Amino acid sequence: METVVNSQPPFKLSLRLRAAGVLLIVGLAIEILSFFWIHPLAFMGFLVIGCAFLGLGIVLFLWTLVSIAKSGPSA
Amino acid sequence: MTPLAILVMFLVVTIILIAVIVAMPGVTRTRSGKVLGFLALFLLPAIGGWAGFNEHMERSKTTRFCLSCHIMEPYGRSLYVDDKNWVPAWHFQNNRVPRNRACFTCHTDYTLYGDYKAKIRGFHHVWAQYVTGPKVPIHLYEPYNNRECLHCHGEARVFLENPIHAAQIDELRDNATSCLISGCHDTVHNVDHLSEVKFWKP
Ligand code: HEC
Ligand code: HEC
Ligand code: HEC
Repeated sequence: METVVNSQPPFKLSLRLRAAGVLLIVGLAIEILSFFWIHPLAFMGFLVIGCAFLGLGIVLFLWTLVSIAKSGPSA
Repeated sequence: MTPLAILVMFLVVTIILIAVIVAMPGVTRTRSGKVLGFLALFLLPAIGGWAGFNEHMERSKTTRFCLSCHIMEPYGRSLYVDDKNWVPAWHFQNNRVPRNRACFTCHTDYTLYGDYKAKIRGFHHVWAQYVTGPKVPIHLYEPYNNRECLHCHGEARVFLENPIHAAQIDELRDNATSCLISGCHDTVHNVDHLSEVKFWKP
């Protein structure tokens, strides 16, 4: 059993990593889908929806990294 | 393999790597797992997103892209008019502009691609198409700039040695006299007259 000494238990971290992963997968899937059409709406969909998921996923991942660094190397 | 196929493969591999981490977030505890996490959750998606943006930018230069909006279709048809006085048609049919990017070559200021101002214009077209509704008949936002014609013709011998050009070369270069004034190259898309002309069938 792990003792809960730091404020960020690993469970919470892995939950965040998973959430970041899911966001990124959705973003990349939208990107692939957008390649099916040569059309301004495909471009807009990629830019507005796809890139929003990619951006959120990456930010969430980086934020998780920062909180790991703060809470010490044990995580 | 086309660049698009390579890009899609890259994206699929990235998705698989991310899926591994989603299924087993514990792997990121090891040193090599951390590297995998960094690649899959940061570097590869960032590269993939950037490459996708470039792919869409390239597509937005194609004739097909411009003509994917119904309102642009008459301009596409005007490229097939069987008359050498129709400037875009004659350029298009004789490959003087690349056929697959005909519109972009002459309207390079007006696409999503290029400088900041041009991007705003491209979004403006999309906005006009889907939100505010276009103003018909369509007019250029700014008068056509001779610079676009002179980009190809400006230094050409046949252009410079032509006495009409030579007599007013400075005015042409300064945009004081348009290349398109009546009596000169005044037949451009002329979309109102497409019902009265013959078409070239390649
Ligand atoms: C040879 C160069 C050339 C090509 C190729 C060309 N255009 Fe143009 N286009 C012009 C010029 C020059 C004008 C300005 C006409 C004027 O001011 O009377 C113009 C004007 C326009 C206008 C404004 C409306 C009007 O008639 O003034 C639209 C819209 C347009 N072009 C769309 C297109 C599209 C779409 C394509 C591709 C299918 C295309 N153009 C290809 C040169 C070109
Ligand atoms: C989203 C559909 C759509 C696409 C795609 C599109 N256009 Fe247009 N375009 C429009 C609409 C709508 C207008 C009228 C804008 C207005 O009323 O303000 C317009 C206006 C124009 C004009 C005149 C206004 C100006 O910018 O000076 C030109 C030139 C033009 N388009 C060229 C192009 C070219 C070249 C392409 C491809 C690179 C293209 N368009 C792609 C919808 C589109
Ligand atoms: C992408 C390069 C390019 C652009 C942009 C371009 N042209 Fe041309 N044009 C050519 C080429 C190449 C030829 C064939 C060689 C020649 O006659 O100089 C040509 C030929 C011509 C001709 C002679 C046609 C004939 O009878 O054979 C005229 C007139 C002309 N262009 C006018 C224009 C005008 C006006 C514009 C601007 C609206 C323009 N061009 C923009 C490349 C271009």
